[in-house]
Amino acid sequence: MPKQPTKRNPNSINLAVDATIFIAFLIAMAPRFSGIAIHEWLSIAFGAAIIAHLLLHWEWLIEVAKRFFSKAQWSSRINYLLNILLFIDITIIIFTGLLISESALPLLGISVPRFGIWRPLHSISADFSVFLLGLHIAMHWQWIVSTTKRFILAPFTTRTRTSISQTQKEVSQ
Amino acid sequence: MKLLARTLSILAIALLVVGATIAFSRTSYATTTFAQRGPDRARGEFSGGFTAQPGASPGTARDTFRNRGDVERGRRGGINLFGIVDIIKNLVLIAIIVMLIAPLVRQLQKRQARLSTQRRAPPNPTT
Repeated sequence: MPKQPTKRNPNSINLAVDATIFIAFLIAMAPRFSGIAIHEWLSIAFGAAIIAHLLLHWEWLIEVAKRFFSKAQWSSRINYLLNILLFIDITIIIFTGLLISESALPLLGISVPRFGIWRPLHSISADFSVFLLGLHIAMHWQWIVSTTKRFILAPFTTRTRTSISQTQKEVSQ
Repeated sequence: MKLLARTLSILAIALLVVGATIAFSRTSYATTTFAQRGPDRARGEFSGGFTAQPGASPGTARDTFRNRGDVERGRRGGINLFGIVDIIKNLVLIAIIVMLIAPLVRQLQKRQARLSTQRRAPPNPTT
């Protein structure tokens, strides 16, 4: 009988994608650390990762949008508004970032007219995104803690316990 | 097909935001507010909050940025380990927000769950 492929838990996939996005965000927010080229390319990839994140949570987005004005919980409403703000902010960061690009777009042979407003707008929206992301994480903190315990800490502690008991058995023999 | 449609709708909304940003950039409010900030100040803020000496002229301000060498090396060139301070700074800021907001959210969610179970429960019989 052919072996059935094991289906991964969607929460573990979400955790992996979210952790990757968070690390990418931290690095992209520190161009002094990464250098301008990595900053720009990572930010473009970050945009794609945000689309993946939204696609993974598509059902929730549609469900809350339908119930927003009727019977959605207050936490879902606040979360939804916060997510809209975060989406707008990240779109502005990526868009203005592309317009002031010094490495990525010139490498592709694309030149955009320089306009004084883009750089300050880029920096203001970037500063604001740290605050918004903090709120976004705070709203999902319980899920982050429980999922991390379940998929990262629990397997690790089980493995450690098994190896300890095996060693004890070997010692007693 | 469904995935493609969803992706296109996300991109369409992003395009709307871009359109609104362009429209905003052409308003007199945006040009007066952001033009005053100037590109150097914005660059300074974004790349780690280094500041000019107070009272310095614009020409010298550019040369008196703290750690200017490191900043420019980090920005233009490859990885600069001193820039890790920016990552730590953002991480601390996010941690503070989470520490302040997460317990509040938890308490409010508990309260909301308690209220909804009370509403669902049948009314107490009156004696």
